[in-house]
Amino acid sequence: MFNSFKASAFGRFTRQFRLSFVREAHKKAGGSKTHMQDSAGKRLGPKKHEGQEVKRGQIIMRQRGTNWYPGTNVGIGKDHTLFALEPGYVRYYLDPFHPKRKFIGIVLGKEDRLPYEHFAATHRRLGRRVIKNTVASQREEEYMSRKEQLIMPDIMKEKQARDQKRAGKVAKFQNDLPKFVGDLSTEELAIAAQRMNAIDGFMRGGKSLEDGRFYATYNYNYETDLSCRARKEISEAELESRKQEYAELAKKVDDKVMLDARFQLCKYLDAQQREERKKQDIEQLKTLIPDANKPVDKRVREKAMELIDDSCFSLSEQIHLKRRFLKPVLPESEELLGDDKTKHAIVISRMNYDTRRVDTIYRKKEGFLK
Amino acid sequence: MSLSKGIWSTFNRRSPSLALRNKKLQKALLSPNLPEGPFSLKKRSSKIRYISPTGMDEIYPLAYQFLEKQSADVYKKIENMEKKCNVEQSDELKRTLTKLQVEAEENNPEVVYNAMFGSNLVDRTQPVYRHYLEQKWKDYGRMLIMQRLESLAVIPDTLPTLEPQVEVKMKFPCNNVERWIEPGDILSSNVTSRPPMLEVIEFEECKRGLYTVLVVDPDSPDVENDSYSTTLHWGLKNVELSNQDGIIDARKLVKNPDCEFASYLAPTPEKNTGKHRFSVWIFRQKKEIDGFREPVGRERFDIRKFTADNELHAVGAHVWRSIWDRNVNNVRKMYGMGEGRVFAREKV
Repeated sequence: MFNSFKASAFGRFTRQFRLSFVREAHKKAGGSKTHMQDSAGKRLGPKKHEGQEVKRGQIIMRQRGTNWYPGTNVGIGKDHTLFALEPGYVRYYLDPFHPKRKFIGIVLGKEDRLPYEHFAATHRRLGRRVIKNTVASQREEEYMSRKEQLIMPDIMKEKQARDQKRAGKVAKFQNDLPKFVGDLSTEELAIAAQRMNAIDGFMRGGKSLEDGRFYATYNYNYETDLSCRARKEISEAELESRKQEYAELAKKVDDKVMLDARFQLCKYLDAQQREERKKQDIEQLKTLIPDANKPVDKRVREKAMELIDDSCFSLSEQIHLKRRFLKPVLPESEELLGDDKTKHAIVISRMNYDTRRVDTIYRKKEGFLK
Repeated sequence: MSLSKGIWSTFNRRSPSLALRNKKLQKALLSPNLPEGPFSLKKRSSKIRYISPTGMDEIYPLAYQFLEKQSADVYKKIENMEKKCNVEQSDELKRTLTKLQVEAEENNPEVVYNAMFGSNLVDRTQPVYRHYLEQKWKDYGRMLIMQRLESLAVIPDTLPTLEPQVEVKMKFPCNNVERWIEPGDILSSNVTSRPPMLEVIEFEECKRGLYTVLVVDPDSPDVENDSYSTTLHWGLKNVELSNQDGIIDARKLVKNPDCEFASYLAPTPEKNTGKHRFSVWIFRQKKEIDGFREPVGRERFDIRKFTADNELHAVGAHVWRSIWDRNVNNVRKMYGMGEGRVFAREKV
């Protein structure tokens, strides 16, 4: 069995060995290194010459790399092909701002030269026609991109909600204004409510009360001016009378009512009155809460909150006063600490770095504002 | 403990605006050892934990006194100069004086603090604050506006070029929300439906200067010539500005209605005409403009000719962009302009 294996293996070997010596018909590989490397011509070079007329998109130059750079009104493709962006006449030129480059550009006028004068306004072509057909123009105007189409329902919904909210606010002002300002006719009341709504918007946007009032008046006058001078809806005389009426109404309302820090209607206070009220309130707060580190009962707290919420204070002043008189957490004084038997105690675990143990602190409920 | 005892704590010759208004802040800034920790630390625990860098207690007063002495020397120089000659006579002397005034206060910690953190509220009549404002503007604002003007080709499409000398800020305050507009922002037709407010910040001394403001749109389609033309949207002349008051707003214009020679025309770009560049130009006037040689028309407005005729020198600019949106027709109605044309979407 071994012999037969040996014989067959040897036989295979000898057969292979013998084969490698057979010379069969084939062409000898190799030869010159540069043999057979020429490709067909790629038809490069200028397609349009100096001064030749071109249309939009016509190819001016085919090239490998940027032997020529795109100049005025000329674009460049991914294989560096130069093409016309505007109809005109081809110019091959040099630009002193780029001394190492050659450019190809398009001029709009037959006699024009490139580069254009450096500080002159650029020569531009509109290249668009007006759609005269009313149906077509309307269709074009109403055309929406897919993106716009998709987003439009949401925008309209938001707008509707906004309008509704605004109308609600105006109605509320219309309802509340007579409480502060007497003898307003229905028309006057409507205008006054609109004005308060405008001021509210301005103040929410960050303007002061004075600025809000000024711009509310300014916007009304601007609109009335336009209706007279631009739209010719009312005469000059009527314009003046309307402005006058509005100014009177504005004064009447402004003397009685203003918006407080939380944009609620309240009685108008001028700067001096406001200062006085502030002083009074702070004095009262001091007598009410002589020591801010002592707990206060519910009645005192409510009274203090009422004083702090007074319309004479701005929002930041209110916050400062709250921090000063009604501390959310009082310091851990003897009388505010309890033990494990204290009812409703608030338990705090705190690492004590001196003893390296966790201390359990029982704090009475009174030590916290809420 | 305040360490200021020399020239920087006396205010008989110096303006009180060169000091810090907040007394606590002043104390924190001028004390070598920061008794209550840095003012910027709000929490008491962080203040207690704060340790000032080693050697600061000795070095800080020394440095302060050295700088203060230098400042006192410069003030002496100024005094001598004012005694010797009348500074108002020549521009050269004025410039030297301003330079010295800046040099005297440049290193005052209080001034530096004000210039760094309260730049909106600083007293612009003081040369040193103007110097710091100018530095800040040159570092960012000036580069930004020039980049926008060049890349949007506002120069040379409106005026040939600009060497900005003033900072121009703009917002539209007739809307509920107002914010400073960055040059080149695209704004909706609703935002721009009423005139903007401009702030011109002069870095030179300016007690009463006269300015002209133009807002032009160089992208109005000119169908006849298959090109674009410039339209005048707003024109103001003889607007009085100074270092303290650089604001051109509705309040000022209501008081001086003669300033407005071309009323504000809101941008209403027509459909498919692309983004329109509304460029705001601020010019310094040499003298008061009583009237114009030719009546000023809005259409085909030649801004270059206008500036040459009236000897106007451009010192600042701003730009915003507008595009057709679904509110344009409402604005057109508001200004009684009739319906706008609709252009074809494709270019021919």
